[in-house]
Amino acid sequence: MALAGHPGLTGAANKQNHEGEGAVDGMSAISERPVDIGVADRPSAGRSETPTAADGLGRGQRDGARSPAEAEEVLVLSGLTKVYEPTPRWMRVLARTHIKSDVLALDGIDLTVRAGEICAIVGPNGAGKTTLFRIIVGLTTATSGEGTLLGLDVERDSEQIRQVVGWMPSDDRSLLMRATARENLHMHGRLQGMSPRLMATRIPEVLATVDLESRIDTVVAGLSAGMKARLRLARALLSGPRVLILDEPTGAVDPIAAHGLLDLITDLVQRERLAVLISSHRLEEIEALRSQALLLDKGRVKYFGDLDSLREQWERPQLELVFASTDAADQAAADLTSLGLELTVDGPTVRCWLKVRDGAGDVLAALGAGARQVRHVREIPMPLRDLIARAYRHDQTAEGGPT
Amino acid sequence: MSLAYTAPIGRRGLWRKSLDTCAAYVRIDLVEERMFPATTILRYAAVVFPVLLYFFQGSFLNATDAFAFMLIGASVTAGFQDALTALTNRLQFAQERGTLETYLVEPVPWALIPIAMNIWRSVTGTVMAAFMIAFGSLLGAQIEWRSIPLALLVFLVGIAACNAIGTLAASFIILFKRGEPVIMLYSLAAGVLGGTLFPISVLPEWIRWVSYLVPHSYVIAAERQLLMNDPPAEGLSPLVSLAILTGFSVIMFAIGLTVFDRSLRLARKLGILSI
Repeated sequence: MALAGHPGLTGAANKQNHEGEGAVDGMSAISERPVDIGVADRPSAGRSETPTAADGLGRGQRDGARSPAEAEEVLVLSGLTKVYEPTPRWMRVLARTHIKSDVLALDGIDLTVRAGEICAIVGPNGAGKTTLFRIIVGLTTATSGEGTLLGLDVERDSEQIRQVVGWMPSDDRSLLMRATARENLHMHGRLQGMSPRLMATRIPEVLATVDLESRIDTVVAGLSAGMKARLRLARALLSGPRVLILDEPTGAVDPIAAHGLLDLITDLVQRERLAVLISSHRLEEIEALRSQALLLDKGRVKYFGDLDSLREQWERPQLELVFASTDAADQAAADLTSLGLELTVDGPTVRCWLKVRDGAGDVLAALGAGARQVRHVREIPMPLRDLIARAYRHDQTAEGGPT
Repeated sequence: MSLAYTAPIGRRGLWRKSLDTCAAYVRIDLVEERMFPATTILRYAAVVFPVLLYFFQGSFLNATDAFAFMLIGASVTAGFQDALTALTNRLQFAQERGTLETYLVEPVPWALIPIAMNIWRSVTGTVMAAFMIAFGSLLGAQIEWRSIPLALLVFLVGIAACNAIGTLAASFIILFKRGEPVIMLYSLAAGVLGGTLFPISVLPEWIRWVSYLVPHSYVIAAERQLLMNDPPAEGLSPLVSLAILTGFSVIMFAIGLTVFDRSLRLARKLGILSI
């Protein structure tokens, strides 16, 4: 086995492999090939360079020389479009269709997520977030466009993709409520192809990672919402995925538990260089993850990039000026209004929205001698919620919609 | 601690995937049984009553053979019913509960799921039929015990045929979200056409041919030939019934899995796979 040199591969694991557990159906042959796809060939801190089902299967990525940036690419979507159609007429004899006409759920989505990157999918309900996830894990198909994950085609190689993706659905209903945490993970592990012996060590390890070790034999129905969320994460992590898809992972979790969960995810991404797709309605969480952001609206990409660039592009911070007196504030407000600034006055406090990010000096300069009456100046950054809302509003304006 | 998977999960062959899938689902079924022991006990207690019903009916008719005749038919039907309804109930429950999506994102062929989901109920259906026969025997039904192994084989092949029909019903659930119509129609038809309580020779000739399309009729006829001390004179020999049943199971499974696969593809395209 060419795996001997891999730092994270223990002797026990090697032995297990030789015994045939997990090394089924030609896995040895795959491992002996020079690994040249995705992230498997790139050393990373703490990550064992263990080939997975994707190794040797990623046709597209094996072909030709690839740049280092391309080699890091884990998920690549290109022009992905999904149109939900009404059920065929013959089916309506037995069941009503839930849509009457075509619904465009995704419209030409382009997205690249690299190893060690978190990409937050943000958008209102019906924006297409879940459809995007469902296409990646094979629960539905794209109408047009292409998608690859570690070189595997999302349409054709769905079964292999499900081997390397850890999927954390949005609600607890995906867990077997009447089974224990161990049994839930055991079922998933077995379907992933893990041997009972491997699971005996792996399940407690993964539960320890999500701080649920003491609840290993607790029936899921008896766990709190936060614990259930951590169990769903443990299930997604069990087989050592290369990609995590987290659909509103903190939906029903209290803010403190949610913070812990996100810390854990961030830590895993750094340590294991996982590629993560995450959707959440809690924008403060997205900000805390310091991730890439894909803003979706009605199936279209409104923005894709890092949050700092989003701020650069869209931020309109507030400038708070506290004057020595109310009269001075009123005078300053009149001066600034004549310059076309939006503002509010509250006693001696004037708050104005800057037209450009670095416009505080311009405002003070515009006050002239009145600037001497300023006792306190503070720039208030725009909350991410407002920032995103502004980005959405801008596009609606551009399309002739309401501002 | 590194979470990187320390043993490679390679490409598994279909055989290994089938084993893994069946083992996973049977294990979770055992967990369910262990969680609700009273349900299991009551399920077996309930079948005591039909046996008593046919016992008293046999006494009323003053015919011990009639009791054994009806007992065998009823046992087969009850055992098959367990296997037939389990899959549709479970699949529908998973679909409504939200666990189906979790099953479908596992890296195993989807066609294996209905088979694996039905294994445990097939076993319990067999045990239930055996329990009814044993209880009937205690009440005086004359049973040919030496034929039990072959009778069991016939029953298991019959269960396989029912599973194939269950797979068709599963296709129905995937597309239309309800599978009961298929199972209800089949179960009611099988009760009449399979000859549960009477030989199919009493059916009018124009409808009797439909009986030959129902696996129940072959299993019940073969079981009566094998288990009764004084079996009915007419009917196919057990080995012929077994051969027909085997062919029936293979063909029905091929059709069932093809239809199931097509249904999944269509549901996947329409985006209604797990909703």
